[in-house]
Amino acid sequence: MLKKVALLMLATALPMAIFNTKAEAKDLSQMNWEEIVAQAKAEGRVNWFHWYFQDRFREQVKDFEAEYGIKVTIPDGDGKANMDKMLAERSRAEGDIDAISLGGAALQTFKSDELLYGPLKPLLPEGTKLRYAIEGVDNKGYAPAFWGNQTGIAYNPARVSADELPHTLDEFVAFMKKNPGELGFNVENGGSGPAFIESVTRAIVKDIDYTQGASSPEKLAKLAPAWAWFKESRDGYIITASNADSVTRLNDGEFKIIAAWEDQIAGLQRKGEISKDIKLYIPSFGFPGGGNVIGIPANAKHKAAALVFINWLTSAKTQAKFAKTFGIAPQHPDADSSVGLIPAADRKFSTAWSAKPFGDEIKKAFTGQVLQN
Amino acid sequence: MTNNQTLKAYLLLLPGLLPIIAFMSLVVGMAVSQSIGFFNFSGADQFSIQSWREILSQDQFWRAFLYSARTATLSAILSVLLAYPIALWLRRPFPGSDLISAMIKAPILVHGLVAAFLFVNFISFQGFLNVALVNLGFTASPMRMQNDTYAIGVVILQVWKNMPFAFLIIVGSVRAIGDDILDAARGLGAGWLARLRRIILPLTLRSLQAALVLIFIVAAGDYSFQAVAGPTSVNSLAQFMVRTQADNGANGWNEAAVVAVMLMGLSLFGSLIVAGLTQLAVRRMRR
Repeated sequence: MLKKVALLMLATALPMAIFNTKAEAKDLSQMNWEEIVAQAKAEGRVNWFHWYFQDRFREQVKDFEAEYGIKVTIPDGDGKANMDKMLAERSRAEGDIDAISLGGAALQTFKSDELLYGPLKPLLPEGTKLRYAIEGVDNKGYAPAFWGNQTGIAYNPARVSADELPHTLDEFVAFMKKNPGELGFNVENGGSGPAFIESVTRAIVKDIDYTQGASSPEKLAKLAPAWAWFKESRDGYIITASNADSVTRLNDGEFKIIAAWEDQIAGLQRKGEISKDIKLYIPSFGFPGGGNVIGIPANAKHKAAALVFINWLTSAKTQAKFAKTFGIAPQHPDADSSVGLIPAADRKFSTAWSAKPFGDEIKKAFTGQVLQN
Repeated sequence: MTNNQTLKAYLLLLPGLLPIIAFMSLVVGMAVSQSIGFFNFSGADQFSIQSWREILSQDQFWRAFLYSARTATLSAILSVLLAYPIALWLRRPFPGSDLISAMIKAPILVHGLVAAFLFVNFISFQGFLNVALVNLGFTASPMRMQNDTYAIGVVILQVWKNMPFAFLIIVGSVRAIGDDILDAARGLGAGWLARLRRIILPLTLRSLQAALVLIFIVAAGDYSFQAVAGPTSVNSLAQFMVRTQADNGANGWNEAAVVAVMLMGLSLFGSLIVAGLTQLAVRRMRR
């Protein structure tokens, strides 16, 4: 009798499983945009795992909730914990994460074609306009950029005038000689310091193609003149503990200039946590700009809702609003990019990050050759 | 004790022991497996010693290893050295001794990360200490003490956080020493140093070793104190492990697992060595 019941259950369950898979496949890739939106509304919610400014994003997504009637939940949690959760859940049929924010370079650390649903580029109405190659990593259309950030030199006008600011490498050397210990940048816990290291390296070592991510001992050996520059100027700069540490110490008046992120300074100024007088510029030898991307885990429960949400997040309207609110560099080509901390004339000095993994090797080599040598 | 009773005793231990053994085996097994190429998130799951070769050939790893060993040893010894005389002083209750004892234990209630940030605020360029030093005329301008190269800040934080644990462990065994024994020694002409060397230290050896082992393990695995207040020119092993995972793209997880296994090895063997050396030292002092 038990055997018969088990067989009956199996016979009922198997066709349902096949039906479900087929239905999902249709939902996700064979619908037009109107059908996807209707499906998204039926799903009714999106769990967006995002690691910074969660409280402020909860306010921002209210526009999306009002427009589509889809509830957006943004749990608290840091970027690494979110990524670990996605990795840990990869074997579950349905995970808790519907959309996940990732650093532009994070996708090189796992198999995006297995872990993420997509590519999203052909599914999004404006997918072809969006950016998928960021921070030296091309994610092949799986995760569009929604947050652009520019690195540069932040300065405290209470301690240094605009005329004294260094713009070229020679001026940096002269500045450090005149003001030893007044330049701060981090190596760990944030990308602003590594941006400075990379910029100086690129300005000194010019016979390397930084758009090629392949790394080799010969290629790394060519960076020696940059390490010599940093070693010779060792008394001129201070290594800080993190992006935030640099900003705090600039704001306190300990440093005259630091390497910093535009969006971080703008965000802190808008929250009133640091002085509104702090300004930012890009030296003429160039500083890299990067950003964050958003993807849908392969086992997301509300894929259509996540897709509609990503479309809203990356739209020109939302990106222009984020530029005003957060000080980001918009990632939609039609969004207004004139609002920002960095003077418009300096934007031409923005460079792309060196392609990975070589880009990461520059920071590692700095640690090995300069910092821990 | 009959065989039946022995069996019963072991059976009673099982509910407590099994989860401990299961969780320990899971963690150690996962780390070891990942270090030899399994549980690979970005490549083929197969046996490989490539990650071991990669990590063990790095100077930065060995710097981190020695740094963690050094700060852990220093923190354990200093914590016990500070806790021991206080425990001896509070051996016999006196008016106010309970209050002092409670105050010594207060750091246990404060999270290490909170303490680290408070400490950094205190010693920062515009912090209380610098402002006081400048205003009192001891220095002309503020001194940079944050993230000092010699890890003095980290050791101060470790001692501040771990000394109460050492105190708790040692005070019990110090109080358990009967007055009769000490009076007898005094009667036989033993001075305070002889009583300390030949009676108190040998009788409290086990608790000394327990305190040293516990603090060594906690300090060797430190991440938060090092990340907030530690030197920027060298990593602790835990910090190096996180950096290895984040910096090495596809192989990051497996290489970080090698560092994790080495960290477990340092905790195990380092604490055993510290405990063994303490035993040797105490035995020599008895002579």
